[in-house]
Amino acid sequence: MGGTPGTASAEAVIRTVGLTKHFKDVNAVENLDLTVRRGEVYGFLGRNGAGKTTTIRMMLALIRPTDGYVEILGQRMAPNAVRAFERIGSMVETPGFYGNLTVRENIEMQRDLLGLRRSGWVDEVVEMCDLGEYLSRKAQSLSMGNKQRLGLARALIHKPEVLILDEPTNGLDPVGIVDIRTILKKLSAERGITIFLSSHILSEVQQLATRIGIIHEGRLLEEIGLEELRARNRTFLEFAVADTKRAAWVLEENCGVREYAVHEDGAVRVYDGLERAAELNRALVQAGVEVNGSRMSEDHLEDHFVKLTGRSDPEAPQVARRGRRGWRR
Amino acid sequence: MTRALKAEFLKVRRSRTLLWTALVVAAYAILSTVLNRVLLGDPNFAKSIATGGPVFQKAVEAGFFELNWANQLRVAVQGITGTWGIMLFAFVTVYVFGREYKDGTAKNMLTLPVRRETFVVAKMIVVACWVFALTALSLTLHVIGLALLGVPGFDWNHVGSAAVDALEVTLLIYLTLPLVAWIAMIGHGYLRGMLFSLAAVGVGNGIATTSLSKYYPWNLPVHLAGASWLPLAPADLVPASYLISIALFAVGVALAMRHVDTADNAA
Repeated sequence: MGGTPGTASAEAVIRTVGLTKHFKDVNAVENLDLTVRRGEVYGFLGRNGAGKTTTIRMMLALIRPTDGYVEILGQRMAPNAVRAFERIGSMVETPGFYGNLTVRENIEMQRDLLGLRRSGWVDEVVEMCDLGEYLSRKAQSLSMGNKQRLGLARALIHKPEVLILDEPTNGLDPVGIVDIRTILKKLSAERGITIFLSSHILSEVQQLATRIGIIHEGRLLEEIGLEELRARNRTFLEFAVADTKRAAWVLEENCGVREYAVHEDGAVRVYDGLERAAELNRALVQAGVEVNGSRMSEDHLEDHFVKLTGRSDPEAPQVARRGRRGWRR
Repeated sequence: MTRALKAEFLKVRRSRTLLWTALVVAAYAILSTVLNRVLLGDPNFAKSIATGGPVFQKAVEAGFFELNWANQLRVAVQGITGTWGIMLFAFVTVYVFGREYKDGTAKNMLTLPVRRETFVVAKMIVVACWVFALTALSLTLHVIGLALLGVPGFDWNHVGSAAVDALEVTLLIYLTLPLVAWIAMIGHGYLRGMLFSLAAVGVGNGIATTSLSKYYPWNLPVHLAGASWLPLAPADLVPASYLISIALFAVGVALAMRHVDTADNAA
């Protein structure tokens, strides 16, 4: 048990192949193929009802797929995949615990059930999840944030190689969200645990994930790597021009712009020298390029998400929209 | 198995439900003992009961309303079959099984590196310990109550006989419980299991005087313990009666195990 810190090889740790789940006439998950490699923090992003929880339930063999299968750590997941479960920690939706037992009893019981003999592992996980002062409290009397920590502690006590979390910050206040994020970042950085994390909160996924999969209406629409994600979050200056080729030549030759992108819809996006917006605009006009408009904007995963999944839903991308300036003439 | 069993006992050890079920049993034992002492101590009571109709007259003639240890201990055993036993034992079962789904802990339990069937067996062992402990508590309180109230006719043989009857009756009810457990798991909570038990008891009352009754698992305890108002004899039961109950137990366990292995356990 326990992953090697910092490793990020190409080994597939979680693999779903043609994973499908139909509930009567509802196609909850449709032909889902995804791969999570060792050491990755995979953000599984989707609106409410997109199929995230159903996918996770199938991963953990809590429900049976209509078609397809899941492999975790090379083992086909089935109800009694005992060997695989020894290496997986999970928390699905709400943290499960026995309210009439104390925090310590809940964790000790998990240790017993996992067959762990060393009581030191309890202390370790208590420290990591910062539950020390609540050990003798009944679990039902904990705050939502601490209940979530307890759920995480139960999932982590056996030092799993893979951590599968369904909406781990659901219902938490901002401080609670930060706390859980800090723990997960630490786990990823120090233990190299592969984390599969579902969420409908974009900002959360963006801050944690090294790769993001976007699911919508049961289908995986896109997977985005960290680099692409970073690129997507860059601020840019966009010119709407009549002649993109000439505009690009002017920007590069006359203004020394090195980072820019030409789009087919007649837009040129400039990523460096943004403080010289007026100068660049003037240079284009002076070189005879017809500039129909310009705007300073930010490319966000949020925009991309909304574009992919359709209309913006108040429940879906829960991230504050950053300022976007409209077309300026 | 030991690990699962230890965990299952820990789950109920601190539960208030354990205390509440014990209180229900204690309340019945105290009330029935005191009430019968007061009512049956009145020589006119049996006469007034006898006017209730032929069934009551027959019961009075058979000596069911005489105040003595034999009758009072029979009342103790009949309490399990009629007043509280079947429904309370069903409640214990739906609590042990349905709680995991109702409180959202089933998904944790079923993703542990422990064979899922182990939990079904461990839980059934916990249910067995719980219901037999309630039976023992009931009988003990009855004995203490009767002794304190100075009821005449004490004989250790009566106590021994009542203990054997109580254990047999509890065992017969226990044989019906895996089916209740399965329904609690399907229903992801308490309600369906309780409604099923209520319906099963209702059907049992409906067919109590028919020839089918001795084959109906929920009526077997009543046949064994008798009923003050409806004298029934253990002789009514035939080997097939017991075989049906044992088969019901096996089917219930198999269904519960199949459920954790194959069905939707998402709660």
